[in-house]
Amino acid sequence: MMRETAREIDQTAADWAAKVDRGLSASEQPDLDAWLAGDPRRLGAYGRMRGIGFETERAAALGPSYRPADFSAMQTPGRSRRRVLLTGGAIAASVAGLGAVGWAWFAQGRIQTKKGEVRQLALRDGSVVTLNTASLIFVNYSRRQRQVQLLRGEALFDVAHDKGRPFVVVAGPTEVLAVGTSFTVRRLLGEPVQVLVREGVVEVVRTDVAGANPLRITADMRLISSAAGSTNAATTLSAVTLPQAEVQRALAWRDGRIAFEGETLAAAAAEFSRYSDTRIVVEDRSLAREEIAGLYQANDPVGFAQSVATSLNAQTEVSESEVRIFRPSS
Amino acid sequence: MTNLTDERARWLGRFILPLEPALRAWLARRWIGGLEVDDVIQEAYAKLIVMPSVEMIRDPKPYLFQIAKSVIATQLRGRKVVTIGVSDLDILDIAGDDPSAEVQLLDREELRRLAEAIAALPEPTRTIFRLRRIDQLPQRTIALQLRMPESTVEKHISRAFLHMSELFGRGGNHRVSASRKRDEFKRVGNDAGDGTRD
Repeated sequence: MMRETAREIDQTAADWAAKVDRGLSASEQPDLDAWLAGDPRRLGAYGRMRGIGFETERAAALGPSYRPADFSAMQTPGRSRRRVLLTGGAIAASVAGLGAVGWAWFAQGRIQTKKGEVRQLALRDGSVVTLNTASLIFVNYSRRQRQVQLLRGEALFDVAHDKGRPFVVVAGPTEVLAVGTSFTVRRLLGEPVQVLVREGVVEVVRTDVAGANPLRITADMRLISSAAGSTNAATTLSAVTLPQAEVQRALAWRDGRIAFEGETLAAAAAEFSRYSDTRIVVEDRSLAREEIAGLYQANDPVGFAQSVATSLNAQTEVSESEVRIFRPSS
Repeated sequence: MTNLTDERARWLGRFILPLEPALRAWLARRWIGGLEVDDVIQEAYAKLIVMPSVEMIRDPKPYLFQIAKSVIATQLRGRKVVTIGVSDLDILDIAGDDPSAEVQLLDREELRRLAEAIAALPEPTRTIFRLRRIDQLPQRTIALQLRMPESTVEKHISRAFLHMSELFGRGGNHRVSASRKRDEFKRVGNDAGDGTRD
């Protein structure tokens, strides 16, 4: 018998990965196991295809505005290699006129995410909201205005262009007004409200401070709206321009990840607590001050703790509700 | 039973797949006793799957190459051929460059590659894959919406996986080298810094 070629194995492995993608039936599992047992290369090819299956899940972040035509220039041999340069925002840009199938079209109502969950949904006008972990919004569209209240958490808004009907995000006394743009609003307990603009322009006002002028911020800027109760109109809203890499980092949560670059271990542990009930405990103060860098899976605090411990020469101890990082006593 | 956990499959896709083009190029430059590169790749993946843990692998690149080398050695030993064309020096060379930078593509770059890969799929595979991965509809729902048998949807998902494996595993599309890319981002970052500053 001819030895099965790697190519043939790859094809069957892709078939199995596609079956797993829809869910294996009880009778299929033994078939898969039998196939895998037939040749050691099969397990490798199958694992590789499954890995591709997981990697391509990231495509969800492209959102409904994805237009293949924007990306196909490179693949056409012989033609001019017009390469579409993609700025961070362009991925989710031109939301208007999308023809997304199968999306839930919200016009009214409450939408929330559990801890560790990231959810993306399309609103009736074609705007897209991506909700980060433990967030709650209330959508209220009227003929004159598209209003979304952010009650807690963090959300990215890719706003469909509609001049006649402004899009307003209300986060307590901070209101963010957009026409057609892409920005996040973050409202966490004990932190000032933050607005990060990815694309376009938004206007932010404080409704609780007399004499405060609206502040316009543009792409790659972060605005901090100081805690309610401050009455100094001049300092309530402040904005800074960020390097674009940092804007990307601040949006890593869309793919279920957290990015650090020089944050302390203590701060990183606090960030993880937004996404998981498993607490990261660092009692050693010098350890807590160590700086962390890297991209981590938001729902895997244990994996993070273990990888950090390895690089800091520390150890971890995992129990049901927490993972401790400590330096072995010498 | 299947030895493959989701976690390991994710890890393979995340850390090993991006290294595959480099491994293929490396194997192509060396005498591997007439073995097929594709066979070596599949066996290397298999070895990474049956390992009890991959946690201690801090730097997957030299590790992957080491595994490939051991696959070749095992195969050739079976044929009673002793000499092999890879030396420890090669492994040292590999450890010298900066694989962590190579695998940690920024989100944007990853997404762009995926966007291009999907765009390159033939229809109707493209539409089906888009509904599955971007709109995240179950295969069953896609079948209902497009009024086709579920088995057809599954066939197209399989084709899309195979296509992506060619593209990412064989390095079918161009990738800017990691260091150059980082410089580009730095530059963009600085350019963006001309706005309002507090």
